[in-house]
Amino acid sequence: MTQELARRSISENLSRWGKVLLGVILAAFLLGYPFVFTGPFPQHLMIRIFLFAALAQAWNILGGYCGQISLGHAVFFGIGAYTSTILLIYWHLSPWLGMVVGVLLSLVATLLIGYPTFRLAGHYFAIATIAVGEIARVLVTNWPFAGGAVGLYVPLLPEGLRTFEFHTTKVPYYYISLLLLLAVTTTTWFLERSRAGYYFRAIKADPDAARSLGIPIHRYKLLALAISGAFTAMGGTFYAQYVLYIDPESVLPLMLSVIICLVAVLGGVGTLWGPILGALVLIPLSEGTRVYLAGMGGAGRAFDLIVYGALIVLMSVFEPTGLIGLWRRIQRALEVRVSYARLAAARRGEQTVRGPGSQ
Amino acid sequence: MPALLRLEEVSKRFGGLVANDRISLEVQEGEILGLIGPNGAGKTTLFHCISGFYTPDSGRIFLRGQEITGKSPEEIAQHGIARTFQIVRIFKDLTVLDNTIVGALLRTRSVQEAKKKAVQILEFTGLKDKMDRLAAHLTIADKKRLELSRALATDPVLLLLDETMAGLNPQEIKEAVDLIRAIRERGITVFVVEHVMEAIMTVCDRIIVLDYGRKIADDVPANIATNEEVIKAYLGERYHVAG
Repeated sequence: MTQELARRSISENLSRWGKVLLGVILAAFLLGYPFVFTGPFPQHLMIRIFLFAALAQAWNILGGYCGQISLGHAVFFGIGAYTSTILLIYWHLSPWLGMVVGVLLSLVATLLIGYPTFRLAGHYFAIATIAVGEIARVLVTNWPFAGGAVGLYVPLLPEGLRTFEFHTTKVPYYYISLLLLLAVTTTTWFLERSRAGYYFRAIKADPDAARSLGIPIHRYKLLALAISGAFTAMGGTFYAQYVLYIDPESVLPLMLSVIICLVAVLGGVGTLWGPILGALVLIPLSEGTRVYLAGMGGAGRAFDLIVYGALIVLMSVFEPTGLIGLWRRIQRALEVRVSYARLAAARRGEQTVRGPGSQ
Repeated sequence: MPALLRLEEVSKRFGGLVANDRISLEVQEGEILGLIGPNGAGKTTLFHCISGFYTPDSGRIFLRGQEITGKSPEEIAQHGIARTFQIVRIFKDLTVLDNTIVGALLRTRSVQEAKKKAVQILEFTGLKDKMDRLAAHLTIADKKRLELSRALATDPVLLLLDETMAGLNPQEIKEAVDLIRAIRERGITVFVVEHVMEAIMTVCDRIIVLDYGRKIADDVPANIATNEEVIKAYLGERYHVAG
């Protein structure tokens, strides 16, 4: 009994005040960060972490929960970036409205992509999404209206929330990207607890068994892709407004799709915190190597990919469930240690109580 | 009273092989019907046809007089036919409770309600103590029990059990037989494919025998055991299982 008590203690104690306290500290840190770290690099770093955590979290809905591995998510990112930028250039539409239109177009893309590709199972689906992504990249590269290979500059407008442009400070971008991450994470949290969430996991585990339980798997895969793609498109618009320049090589490359997937996989797929954890580790790594190894050949650009590759190999050998699995292992080890300590303490207590009476 | 399930001349071919050859049968409301036959007789194929995983090449299938031929597995589940698989197909990474909740969600949108129902079902099937375990960590007998629980959670009118007793020890078989009887008590009709003869002979009200895709007998167990054609086709040297 003492053992059981001791084992429960860590997570239970943490689940009450610890969690509240942890939440408050985390919120204070996130909200205060840009005022403590006022330099452009730490802020830029955090914005990229938020953006990629959000993209990986969106990918996670389809890939992690529903088990459909997409290597073509750059398509949705590109749709978001190009839609808002083109609407702004040619029709002077606010990027915020452009973001909405981008989301709507991503839903159309969901039907176009999902309908044929979801007939393919397992690896074949992943391969098909690579093809879809490459088709989109080549199309845009050869489409003069969308800037072709040269790309598009987002017109410079007076800065402000209304125009979604800030030239003198990164702080608003910081909060907008944080909000995006919060939105997709909250959505995932609700999905986890909803009928759709259960159905996603069932489809991932065994599609035929899922069908035998009355789950229209096609419809639910489309739903997962739609939610996933919509948030990815929002990320694309954000990126365009943040960098103010887009071209097929920056918003539609296969590498972007792969990195979105990697962040989620390294962090731990099918978990709420996995993609965030993955972004926290991978993005500083890639930004860091880019900055500190800039002196090396190729401006250190490919070096982060070498590190990614090494990490993937290490993770798949030692902890296939991702960083979240590593974290859980550490947590378990701590709990065992605590329960041993408590057990020992309890035993000592018994002895001291019994001590004087027995002899 | 019209039959709960009626098959009219259902055929299924794979290339030159006729897996189901013009099979007609009826399943009456509230009965436990057995389906036996040597390996490759077409029992699982027939279950796949009924549950929508295969579309019959010809023939028609009716549930309560309504045609369900060629409907998808998910539509057929919706109509009230649930099934288990010859090789268990539980959701390994989900807990016992979550597996069952997925089944229960067919009849309700609310996860809370589905959870309540799932707990009731697990209590009925005797898995409640293990409901927080990962399905992958269960014994074979419990995995089969879980698959059954999950199917029951969809509130079926007809339950198709494909060799739920294969690989179980005598004690577990006895428990499975009791469970099948208890399921019938709940008003659910059971159609069962089984190789374990002693079990199927005792639990079924009626047995249908397939051989090379054809129906060769349809009778009460006592008559099946003495049916010449059945013995010739199948039981002849195999009915030692009881010993």
